[in-house]
Amino acid sequence: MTCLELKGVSKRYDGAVQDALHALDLEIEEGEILGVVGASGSGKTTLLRLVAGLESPTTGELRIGGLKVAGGGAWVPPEKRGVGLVFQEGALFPHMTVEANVAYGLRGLSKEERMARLHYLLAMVNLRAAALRYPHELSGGERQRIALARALAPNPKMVLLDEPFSNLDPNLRTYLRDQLLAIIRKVNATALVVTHDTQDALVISDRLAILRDGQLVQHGPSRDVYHTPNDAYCARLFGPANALPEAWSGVAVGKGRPWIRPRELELLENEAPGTLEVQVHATQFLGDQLGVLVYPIGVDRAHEEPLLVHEDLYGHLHEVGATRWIRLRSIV
Amino acid sequence: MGIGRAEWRWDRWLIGAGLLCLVVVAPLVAVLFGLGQTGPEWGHVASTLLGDYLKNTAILAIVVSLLALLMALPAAWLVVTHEFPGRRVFEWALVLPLAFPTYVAALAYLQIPEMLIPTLVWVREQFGVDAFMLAQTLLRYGLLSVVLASVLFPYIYLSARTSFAHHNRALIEASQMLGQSGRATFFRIALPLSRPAIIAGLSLVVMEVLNDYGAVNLLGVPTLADGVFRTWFGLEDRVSAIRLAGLVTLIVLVLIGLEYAQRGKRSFADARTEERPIERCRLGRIGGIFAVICCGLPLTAGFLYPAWKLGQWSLLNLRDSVPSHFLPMLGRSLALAASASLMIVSVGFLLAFTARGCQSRSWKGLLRAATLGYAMPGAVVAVGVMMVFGNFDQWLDSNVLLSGTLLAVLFGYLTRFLAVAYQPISAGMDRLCGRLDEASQLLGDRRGRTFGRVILPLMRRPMLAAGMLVFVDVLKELPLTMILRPANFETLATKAFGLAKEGRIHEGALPSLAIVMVGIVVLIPLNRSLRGGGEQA
Repeated sequence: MTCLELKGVSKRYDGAVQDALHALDLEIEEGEILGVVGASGSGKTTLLRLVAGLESPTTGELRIGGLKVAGGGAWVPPEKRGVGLVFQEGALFPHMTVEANVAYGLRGLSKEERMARLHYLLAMVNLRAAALRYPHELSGGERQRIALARALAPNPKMVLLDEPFSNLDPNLRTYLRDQLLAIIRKVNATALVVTHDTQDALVISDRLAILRDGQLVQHGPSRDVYHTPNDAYCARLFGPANALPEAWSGVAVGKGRPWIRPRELELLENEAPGTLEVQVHATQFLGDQLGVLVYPIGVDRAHEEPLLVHEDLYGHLHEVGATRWIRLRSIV
Repeated sequence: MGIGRAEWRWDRWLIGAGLLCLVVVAPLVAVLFGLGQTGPEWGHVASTLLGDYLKNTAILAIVVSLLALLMALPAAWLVVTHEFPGRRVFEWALVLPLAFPTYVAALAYLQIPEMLIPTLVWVREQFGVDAFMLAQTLLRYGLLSVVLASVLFPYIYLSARTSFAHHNRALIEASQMLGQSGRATFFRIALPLSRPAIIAGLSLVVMEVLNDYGAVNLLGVPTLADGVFRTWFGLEDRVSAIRLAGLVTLIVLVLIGLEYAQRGKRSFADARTEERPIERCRLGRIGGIFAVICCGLPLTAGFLYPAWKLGQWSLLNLRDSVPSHFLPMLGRSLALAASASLMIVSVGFLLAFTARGCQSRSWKGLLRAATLGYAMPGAVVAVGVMMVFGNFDQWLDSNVLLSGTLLAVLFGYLTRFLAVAYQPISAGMDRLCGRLDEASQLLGDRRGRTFGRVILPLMRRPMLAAGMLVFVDVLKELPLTMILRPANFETLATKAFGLAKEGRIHEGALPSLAIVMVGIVVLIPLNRSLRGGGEQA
């Protein structure tokens, strides 16, 4: 069943000359996690705030759980939408304990039910011991887990996460990402995650939506979006990508693969069927792998970009000027 | 040799500034010592008057605080978080009542008890003398409370407005997303988060109530500050007046301590959260009308009504010609305020410059003591100044007496208003000058040269702002001036009060209006700079 549905949704802020979000059509199924990625100013946060009810669309319709919440004269305020929101830095109420924060949105429950729900939520985020502490006594990761527990407390129809892992150090980030994902999966929540970190988006999302200048430029299952980007913007959002060399088009990979990831290419010392002859231009030490920049033989180096191949650090030596052949790896 | 931040020691500058602080704080110390004095009349004052003074002061402080909160908080919340007709005007106009000294506002309201005489007579006829007396007392207390709250609420309004505007927008949105209405969000999130700011504003209101002499005197509710006057001039019992002043000083010190202690509890404020300005929500028709009433009522009570009354009476006065005494008195008041500002800003500047980077606890304590005068009632400071000057005169044992000269008035202003000049200058110095004095010293300039070549030119604007604030405060000041002024020396404030006291309220309107006009000229740019300092436009 469709949990969230946007039809032709546009948003233009007062005094702006162009839409922050333009004619957006998007759906999220129940229990699905949709990652929304895009550069700064692409409209990610506007989309999230429209769904939350913190902004109203200029045109178009929004439905949550089949109920029209905005557009066409309808308007359901944020407090009545049944949507949870996890803010960038948690936005925990600093004058309340962890317990009071999580219980803030619980209403219409008896004292026992309330306590039981509270204990369940705190146990779920593994922070029962922190119940009586204040937000400033928690670490960044703990605060985000409490923020998620607070957002999930009233059993929302869906939960929105706004850059939930930004401003955390890389180790904590990975740990927290895995934890939040596990919790969301456990309660089978529908989630919309806005992030500028495409690595996070790839790990946690079932489907991805890419925004550029307020427009949806691509959406689909995460793997498809990663491997078959529509254009240079979608391709390079997820890291380096090579444009398909002209000499190869229609020969090796055919239609639908205009962009190739460095890791999808393989360097061979000898020619083989379906390979392209190249010359090593430079190498880059990338930590756990080696970046090799190569030019196909005969291209105009002044006007063409080199191809980037990610090679195993402990593999062959590739001296600058050496002749090699590149081949496309098969994707599992 | 100059002194860097890292290596402070008690050099000539610091010793000089320390001595200056001691001189400034001397009147307050003298008053506290006065607590130990005993006189034959004290027993009488303590048994018959002190109870009433304390009771009246406490009732007024509580009622005025509640009324001021009621006027300030809804207005501040509405102008920061909602959009409604006239919001932009209300935002700055709600500060205007601060231009009214309490006795000037009281003067504008003095006709109301007269207008209600038929009602009081009716009460007496219907319910008897006791009910009449009760109604009269309630009227006096009620009117005084409304007058004081109407002109003092902007202290709370300003601090609450700034605090609401700086709230993390995400916290308000989080509350909404968790199903809470706007009202619940206000009471459960916005108010608790702003508690320190609101209490800071509230403590200013309470201190102004303690300080007030003019309004309580005009409306006949004797408080402690009024009591100091009555015992000194009415009973001619100096010892009891000094003891009363000492008692007020103690109460103020306790209040300052309480406010300071609650400020320490701000630790829950989450400094790490990103702060975004609050987005205003547009109110519907009914909501808009409610908002206009919430903002319009306090503005009317604290500014529009008294301004209208004063304007009307002044025009009546001016119909024939400007009263002959007015212009010389205006010139005298402005000259006194200007010279006091110049002196106080110079001292404030010197202290702020000397204090830069100094970590010495005794020096900081001394500085805090020297700036305490602002919290003390003018009458108490005046009593202290008279004690210090009286002793000095005795010690000199000559025919030239310092008491009762303009020097005593200026010294009183220095003790009372040093904090008004010191705070903006010190803040400006921290913001503007950074480590420039260290750079100047490393380039070979001695401290005095650094002072003249680097700090002074950079500090012009904060000093001007400080000077304007002191100027208005001196112009409005009443009790201190009344006690310390030379014989027959009238300022706008003393004249306005004197005329009102004689029942010539129409004549008192013109000097009152002059004080208010000068206040407005200073308040508007000041309020703008406050809003520019971080609040959303």
